[in-house]
Amino acid sequence: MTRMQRPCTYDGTFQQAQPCASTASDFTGKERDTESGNDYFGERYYASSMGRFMSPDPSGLMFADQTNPQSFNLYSFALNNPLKFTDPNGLYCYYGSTDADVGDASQYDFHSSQSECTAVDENGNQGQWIDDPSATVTVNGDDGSGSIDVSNVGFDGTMELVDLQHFDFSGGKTPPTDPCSSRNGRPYGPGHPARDYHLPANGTPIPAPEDGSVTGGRSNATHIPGPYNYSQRAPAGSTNYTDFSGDSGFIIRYVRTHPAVPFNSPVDQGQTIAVSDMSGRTTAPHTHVQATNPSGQTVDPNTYFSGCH
Amino acid sequence: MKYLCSVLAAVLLLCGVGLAVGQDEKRSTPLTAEEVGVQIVDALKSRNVTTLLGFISETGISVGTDGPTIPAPVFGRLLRQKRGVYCDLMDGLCNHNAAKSTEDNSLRALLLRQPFKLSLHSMQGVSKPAVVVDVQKEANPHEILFSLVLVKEKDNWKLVNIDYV
Repeated sequence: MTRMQRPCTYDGTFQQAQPCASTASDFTGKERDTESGNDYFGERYYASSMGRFMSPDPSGLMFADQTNPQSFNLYSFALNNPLKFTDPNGLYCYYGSTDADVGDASQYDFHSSQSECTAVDENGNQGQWIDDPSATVTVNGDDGSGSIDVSNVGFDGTMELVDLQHFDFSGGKTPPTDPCSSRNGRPYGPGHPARDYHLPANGTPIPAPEDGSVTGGRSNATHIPGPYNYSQRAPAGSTNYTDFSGDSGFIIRYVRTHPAVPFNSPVDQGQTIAVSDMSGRTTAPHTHVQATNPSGQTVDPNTYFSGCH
Repeated sequence: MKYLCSVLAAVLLLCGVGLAVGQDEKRSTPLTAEEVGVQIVDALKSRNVTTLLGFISETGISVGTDGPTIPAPVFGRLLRQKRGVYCDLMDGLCNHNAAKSTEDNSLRALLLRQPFKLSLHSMQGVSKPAVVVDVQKEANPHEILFSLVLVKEKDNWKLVNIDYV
């Protein structure tokens, strides 16, 4: 890997005094992309030369704090206060609880490490990085389990459980993970015509969303370790996938999984059809899901799976 | 003789005007998404970097599964310098990373390896008009070699994503 030869002068970035050209790690230890000069935070690129992220926080303004104007700047790093806060991956971290334990209720990405955000507390609640303002998070507590729309969570650290939703899969399509959580990547759109669904671990079984059959797939690819940047993309053929054809006419592709059943054999809803494997270039267990409706149009998988809206 | 020369000049003039009008019409008529898809695939097959860059969206392009958006200037530089994503798209043997292989798995190699056909369908649930051009194996249309996602920007179809697994 080529490394950027940096001058020993202050250029608005945080750099070590010496040596200046012997490390690929830059602002907060993140890797600097040699082509763009931007620092890769996993979910977003940060331009040290401009002192801002190159794209807005994908959680949107859902978490803006009216008492803190810095929170309205979706391009700033950690409320523009890097001396006090850190941001491990460029995402907001939501941490929910139904037991009104304010101390556990909410954490924010400017003071959450990876382990803090994803740790499980005594109630079984687990933090989640928010990559979409419509994301849902899991909460457990006295009220039972379910999910909440993060738009109903206040920024002030208190929980406002006004819309606890419980999943009902009767008659619906079973999502790849229960409850359905979309994270670890960009939202559905032309640049990412899919959804990434967080999985608890590598090797997670993927259930059939409805009755149907597995029509194709790949199982010989392996995980490609980082670092990841513009120069090191995964070539074609390096990521496993499982193609599922439902009786409804929808075709669902689960990328970063390999088939667990023979092709073209009937399977029932809920039956394991694939296993996640983190094949290709990825940093966390998830499956990248693409959906095609019976008319052959690409659609947002969240509109297909139950409880993923 | 003078009369013949005058007629010849007039004919040439008319041809020239006609040609110019034809070019103007060609320039003013945006390509269809299908035509853009065909030209992009041809550009990949022939390693025509200039043509391919002409279709890249100003907002950048993503390549591969979960690939980050590469700014258009960076994408152009990589292709012109024949490195990075250039290798994944047009010459797998120039690949330089840990996944280096002796087999050319570039999209160009996939296109040269087998007959293929294109199919076009719309993309739902997005703010701008968008279409997906699937490049499929001719022998098995269910097997997609890769997909191109085009969005309409100022009446022209622009490439924002090259999706493959």
